[in-house]
Amino acid sequence: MNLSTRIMTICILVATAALALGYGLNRQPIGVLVFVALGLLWLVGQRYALRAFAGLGMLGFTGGALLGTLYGVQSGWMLVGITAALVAWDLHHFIQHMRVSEQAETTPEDAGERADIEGRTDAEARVLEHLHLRRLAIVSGLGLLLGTLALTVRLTLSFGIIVALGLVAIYGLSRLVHYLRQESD
Amino acid sequence: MRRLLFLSLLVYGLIIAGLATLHGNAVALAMPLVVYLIAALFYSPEKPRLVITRTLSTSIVHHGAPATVTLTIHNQGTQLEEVLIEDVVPQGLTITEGDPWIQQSLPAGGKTEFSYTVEGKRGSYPFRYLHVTVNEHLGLFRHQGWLEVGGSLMVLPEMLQLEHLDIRPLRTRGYAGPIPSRLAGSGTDFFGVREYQLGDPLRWINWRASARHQHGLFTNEFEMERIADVGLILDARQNNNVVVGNDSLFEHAISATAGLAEAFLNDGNRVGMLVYGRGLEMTYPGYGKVQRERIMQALAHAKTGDSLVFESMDYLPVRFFPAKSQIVLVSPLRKEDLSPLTRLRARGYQVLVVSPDPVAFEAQKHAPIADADASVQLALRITRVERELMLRRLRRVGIQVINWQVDKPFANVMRTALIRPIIPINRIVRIER
Repeated sequence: MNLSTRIMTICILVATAALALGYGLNRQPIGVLVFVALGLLWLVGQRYALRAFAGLGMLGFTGGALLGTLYGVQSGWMLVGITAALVAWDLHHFIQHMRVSEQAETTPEDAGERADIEGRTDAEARVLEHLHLRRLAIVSGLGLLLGTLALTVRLTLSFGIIVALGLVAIYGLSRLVHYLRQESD
Repeated sequence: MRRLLFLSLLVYGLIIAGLATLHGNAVALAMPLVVYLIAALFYSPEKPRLVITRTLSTSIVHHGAPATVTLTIHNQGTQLEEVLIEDVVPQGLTITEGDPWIQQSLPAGGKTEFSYTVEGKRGSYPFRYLHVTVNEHLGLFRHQGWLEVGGSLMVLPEMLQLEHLDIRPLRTRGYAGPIPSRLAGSGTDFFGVREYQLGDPLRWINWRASARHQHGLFTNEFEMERIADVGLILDARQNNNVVVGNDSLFEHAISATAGLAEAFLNDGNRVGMLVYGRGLEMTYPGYGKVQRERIMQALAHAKTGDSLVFESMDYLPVRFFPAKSQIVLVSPLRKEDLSPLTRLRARGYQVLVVSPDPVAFEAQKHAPIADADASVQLALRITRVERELMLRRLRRVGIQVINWQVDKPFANVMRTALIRPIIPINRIVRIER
């Protein structure tokens, strides 16, 4: 098992454990079961390289974290869970991307042998993997840090300011996504 | 793009839910996703400025020989965190070594190259496009597109090696060569006897004939040996081709034509070629290695085809071939070809037909005939008899026909068929008496 796959598996387990623990500590056994099942489902999807399972897992864990926060589960566990799920989701796509580029130009005969990223010996692939993991580690670490700060720092704002900030945030995000889509096209 | 949308929707969902429920912790959960999005945006790649050149180790290769394709990439823009360049290998080529793609980081002004080796069957293979994908490490933003980087590889047909071929066209050309010209002059083969003329070498005097006549001397004459015009016709009519599995009778005909062209050109003859089928693809007559290359390239491009005009051989452009020259037709033949070939012979052309046997080819490729039912065996016998009759009719009008079963070595078949009959020495003595 290569480094990315190992980290992804660990992240799925961490996300599952964090959310399950959060719900467990809040005495909500159904939540524990749901997230253990979701984690297992994601692991199975990863085993069989099913791309949709990553999206499903990410959506499930985010929704679960949101619900948990709203229902009084300790937000720290939820933040850890959502960050770990983000890393796993990213790595799932990264591994798929490497597999697709590997298979893109190989003949059907040798595609089977070479489909797994583990078989890839190119130095370039290893370099790319390390660069990706480094970037991901920085991004997820920073996200976790900022998330923790956001959870700990308390500001009291009036309702009007909150609404205004919310609208500005939504507008800003909309413009950002619009711009990004244009750039990508 | 779908990932970007998905992540954006999650961020929206968390923020809206947090605002709607006035729950700041829900908004805080969006923080890792927002950081991820911002990082991807910050490192999003600019439009790549790549200069890519393609080099082929050789543009023309012989059948079965490998060719190496090398692609050199020069990044003239900003740093590319992750670039995937995939070459589109023309259909029909097989990659024997290396990969036709590369995926790596490329710094600003950086250079890289990759190469792979291909092999292919006869034909022309144009390389045209490369697919380039550039993205940042997180893979949310990417540029992709096609770059046109040309190149071409031609795979020459397999050539069946032949030794010298004995042909006897009615007319030869003016230069010395290996073909008996039916004219008296300097040569090695005895041609006749004539009266002695001043200047004849003494060793050419036929003393026996001279002794029988009181009033003169007689000199031996020899047959001049010259080069000739040879016209090759390759039958490329789709209806005449037999394809069983991956094997095609036309491919055997092409290999035979290549071998014949090589053998005739090696003897110094002037050789032209006509591919008759889809249209008229002519290689005008010429000599030597240059002509050999021309013919090989024409054969590399040759394809079978249908044409209402050229369905029969009635429209064979006879003027393409010099009068009374040697014509070699490589064709599986069909009944309708008898009449045009007979006319060709009647015009004074020396016609040699090399006919890859379609019946034997098909029978051999299918299940063993011994196991087939009686009706199949009967059908096969009838077809064989019909073909044999057709070939006999051709032989009867003075056309040399070589029925070639393609599983047999072509050189052996040609040697056996074109061997010049040697008159036994005792028979010569009897004639002189």
